[in-house]
Amino acid sequence: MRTLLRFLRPYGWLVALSIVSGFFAVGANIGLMATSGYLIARAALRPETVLLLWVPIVGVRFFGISRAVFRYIERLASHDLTFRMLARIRVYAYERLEPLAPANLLARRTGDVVSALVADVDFLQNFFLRIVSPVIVFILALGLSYLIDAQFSVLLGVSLVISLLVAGAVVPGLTFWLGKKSGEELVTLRSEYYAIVLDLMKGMAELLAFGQYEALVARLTALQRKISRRQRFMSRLNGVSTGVLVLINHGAMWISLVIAIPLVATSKIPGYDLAVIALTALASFEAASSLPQAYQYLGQTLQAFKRVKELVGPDSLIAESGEPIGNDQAHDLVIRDLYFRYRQDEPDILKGLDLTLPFGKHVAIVGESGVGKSTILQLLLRFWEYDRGSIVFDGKELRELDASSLRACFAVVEQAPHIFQATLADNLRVASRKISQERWQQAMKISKFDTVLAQMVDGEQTLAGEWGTRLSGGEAQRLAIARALLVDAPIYLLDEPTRGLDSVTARQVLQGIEEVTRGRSLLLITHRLTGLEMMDEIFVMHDGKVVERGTHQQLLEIGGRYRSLYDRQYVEQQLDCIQPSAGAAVHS
Amino acid sequence: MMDRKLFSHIRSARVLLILTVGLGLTGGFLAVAQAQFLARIVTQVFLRHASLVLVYPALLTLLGIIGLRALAAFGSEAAAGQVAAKVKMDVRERLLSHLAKLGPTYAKGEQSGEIALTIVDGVEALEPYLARYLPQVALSAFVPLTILAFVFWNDPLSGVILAVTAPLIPFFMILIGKGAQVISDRQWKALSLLSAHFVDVVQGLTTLKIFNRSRDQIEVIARISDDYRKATMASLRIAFLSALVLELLTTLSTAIVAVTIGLRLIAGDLPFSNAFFVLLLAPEFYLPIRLLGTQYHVGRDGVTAAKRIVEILETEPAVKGSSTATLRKPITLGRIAFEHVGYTYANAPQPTLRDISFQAEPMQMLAIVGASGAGKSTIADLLLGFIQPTVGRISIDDVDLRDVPLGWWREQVAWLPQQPHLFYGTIADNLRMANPACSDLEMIAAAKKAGADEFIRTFADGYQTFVGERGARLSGGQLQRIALARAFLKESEILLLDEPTSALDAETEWVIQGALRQLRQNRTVIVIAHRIHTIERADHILVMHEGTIQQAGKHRELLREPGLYRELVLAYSKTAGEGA
Repeated sequence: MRTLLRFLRPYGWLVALSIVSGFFAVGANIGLMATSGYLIARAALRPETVLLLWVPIVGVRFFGISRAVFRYIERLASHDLTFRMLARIRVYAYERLEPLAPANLLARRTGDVVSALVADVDFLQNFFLRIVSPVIVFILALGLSYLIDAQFSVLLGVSLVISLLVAGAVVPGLTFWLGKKSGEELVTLRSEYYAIVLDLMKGMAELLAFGQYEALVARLTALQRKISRRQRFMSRLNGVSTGVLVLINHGAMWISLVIAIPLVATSKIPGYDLAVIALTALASFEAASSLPQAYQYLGQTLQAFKRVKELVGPDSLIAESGEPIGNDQAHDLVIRDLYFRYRQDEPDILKGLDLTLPFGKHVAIVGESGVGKSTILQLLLRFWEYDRGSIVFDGKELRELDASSLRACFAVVEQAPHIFQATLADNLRVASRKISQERWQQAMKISKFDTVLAQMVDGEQTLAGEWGTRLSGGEAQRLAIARALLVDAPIYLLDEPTRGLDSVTARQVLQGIEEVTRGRSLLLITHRLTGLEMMDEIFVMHDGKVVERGTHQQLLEIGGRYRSLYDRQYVEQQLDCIQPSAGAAVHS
Repeated sequence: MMDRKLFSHIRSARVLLILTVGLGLTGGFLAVAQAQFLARIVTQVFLRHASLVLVYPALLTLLGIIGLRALAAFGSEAAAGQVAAKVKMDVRERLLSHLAKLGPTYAKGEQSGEIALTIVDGVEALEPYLARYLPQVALSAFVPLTILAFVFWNDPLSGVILAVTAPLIPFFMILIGKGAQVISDRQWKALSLLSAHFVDVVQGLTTLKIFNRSRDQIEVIARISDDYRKATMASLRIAFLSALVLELLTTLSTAIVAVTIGLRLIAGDLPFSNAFFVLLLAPEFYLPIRLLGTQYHVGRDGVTAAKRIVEILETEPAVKGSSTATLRKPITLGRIAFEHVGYTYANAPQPTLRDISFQAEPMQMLAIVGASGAGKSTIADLLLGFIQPTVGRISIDDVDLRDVPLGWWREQVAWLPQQPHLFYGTIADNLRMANPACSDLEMIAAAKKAGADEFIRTFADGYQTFVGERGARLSGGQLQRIALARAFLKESEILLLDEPTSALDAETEWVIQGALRQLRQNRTVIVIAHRIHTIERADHILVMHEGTIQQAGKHRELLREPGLYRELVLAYSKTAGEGA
């Protein structure tokens, strides 16, 4: 709560404007009803001239107009304020999230986590609009109601304030408290229900094939019963609370009458005030009407904020800061006896890995999927912390270097490159702030992304990503290669760069990369044994270790794992991959 | 229109509507009565100087009316909740059973998430729509009319003022509503763009970090949020302005009523009690219409949800008559035959399958090959009874599959899908799906045969490890092995195997090949094949191309004759040769 209020602090004047005009809007309503009552009651006494009623008539008109105007100002101020606050929260969330990626973020599925975060942040818009503002306006309205009624009798004022407090605070509070358990249970039950329904839809074919659909539907029905029971309870509770609120609102008016009638009878107050008293009592409850909602939102908002804080809360697994390192030097890389596991409850994925990449050499790591090839890259980029063993970069232990300046030493082709919802040009420009024209053209040519651009109607300005043109796997891959080649770095790290490319293109692209990165280090991670003849050294990984090393020719001659991988790759070629050319042959 | 359709599907929804409107209307009458008594009491005390004792009976009646009003408010809220719970239950049940009839081809791919959302959130959105919005629509017509009648009775001129201003409110509301809808749609788009950008950036954080660009985004997010605020405020200003007009209209007409009444009171044209009664009712008059405005969004969401629900319920099932089919004579599972089968998906211009005829002999292995989109998986869907042929027939030992009870038939088929789905639950739960009655020993034996036992034991909780959406992560190979274990567990005569297209680790490949050798010994095997090893071993091969069978025969025969198959295999050996 306090931390959330902190986000409001810079906008004090907007807060004040919004609350004051909100209060005036509520006050104008009370004023309208009270002066109207006063007006007709005085008029009923048939004064000599209309002029005597001039003040109440002006009052009625003033309140009639000003209420809408104040409400308008209040809405503008409170919404503007809310958007400003949300912007701050978004930046806060991102600032805290940024150091966590990817290790602390990828533990769960990023997409879900991020959309949940976005929804939670958006939900915080209720904080001022539906909680802070109504509560403060209610307190101010309490004071106003007391002041109006107390001029007739203190008892009247006190009784109205008490009824307002019961209607605004006690009843909603009690309702909220009584319904809290069911409400929380409902949230879990409903998310469980949703999870099962989603499972049911995604696995429907299997459920039907195994004759298990009915069984799962029965489980859903049982769950639905539990949900229904709680929802019925909640609706009864809300019904009672609504009924009680009606009772208090109109009951307060009734009590005012009972208190005021003897006062009128004994001429302690003039008779025409009776109408004023009754109408004031009825109108003053407007401020209390939004408070039940405030209670409900309070719980949800605080929870949403708690989730945001939890998500952005943990400290990064990695100490990002350290000794800075230049990216214009000749760096050697040596990995010695490296052990690593992603989670403590999972088995080791690297089990004593040894690898050397002297500066300027071109080296490949090959092996089947899942042997930990990509893990090496993740560790080099300082996305995860390694447990045992050492990675020595330029004579220094990797974890003692500044992560940001370390990353500047690498140009990377990721395995699953993210395509941003932006133009292709913007997607490429992620690589670097300054890119020379020459470098740009060279990168497009080598990656063969220029052919992709040529196909697009809008060329570089084509919108990509979820809402734009969908790039095929091969196109996205070429974009990732182009992006990496735009970076001027001493070491190139390529993780399965030719995924999704046909073998001819793959070979050409690899050749191009080979040539352009001569004189710099290149680490190629792949399970596809194409274009490895050019490599200075090949490391064959199996079960978290390097089991063979040598050049392509040497490894083929040894006749070990590399040889068998190499042979099997063609034996296990999938028919689907070679189908298109064969299909064309049939037609010809 | 949509409502009528919904009501015809869900009877309980009608009860809900009648109940809430009835209680709301009662509330309206009680409001009138309350105003009547209040006016009378105030008049008596104020003008006739009556004492508390004298007005006591009237005061007690007033209290009684207030009590009844509270009861009506409680009743309509509580009753709405009770009936709404029943409506939601009914709708969900109908949706779930209808979806089973529509089968997995309906809820395929991305659709599955959307349908799940409709079942959960869509149905939930019906409650406010049916229990609040629709009754409010009725009440906003009935209650003001009732009140208007009483006001006319007491003071025709005020009645005229109310009657003149009242139509202006719906008029402005429609105006505002239309504007607001455009604005809110635009707003919604802007907000989703903003959210999408945020999601995009966070999802791409790894990429941004790799290129050392992640810190730059702080400024971008701040800027976009601020742009969003400015754009939103610009359009909100218009929306709020419209609200201002509306509010002005209602408060001003109350003010006008008060002033005109006041003036006529001075003239002595109107008794005070009538005047006070009218003044009390003026706010009540506008209340239902204004409440309708606040329910506007609820209504819109509800209409969208109802539309989608009715759409699903009115989709014709792809499979008909299967539930009523009974097994007239015991079928010995012999030959499975496709006889000139054709299939066209609903709304598809072209048939997916054309004139497919083949036979799968008992205890033999039939392999189907062809590029993706050739119609292989449609054959699998037909075999599993998810869809029925649009032309021709499928027969089991000469009995039309349409006349075979689906439940029984599916028991005879063990199916290993290309991408097995793991349900949220333990590994044991997922295995037992295939055979709920099996013992632990049988289950473990099946897992061992499928080469799954070994990796399952590496988990701390072994067979009790939770898998699925929120559970432990499994690799593609592990998933395949669990699905294979399911196939072993299910003691069926027919095995339908859809080989994974993507490369699996060597061990899984080896396990699947071994398992296939073992399974085919006492089963009819139909395999959609992607591996040359599998195809070579098949007794019979179907080569599919664009929905038809291009060639059929044994591996050796097919190699001899020129055609698609030889092209395929030649192309394959050429690449292999080039590599070596």
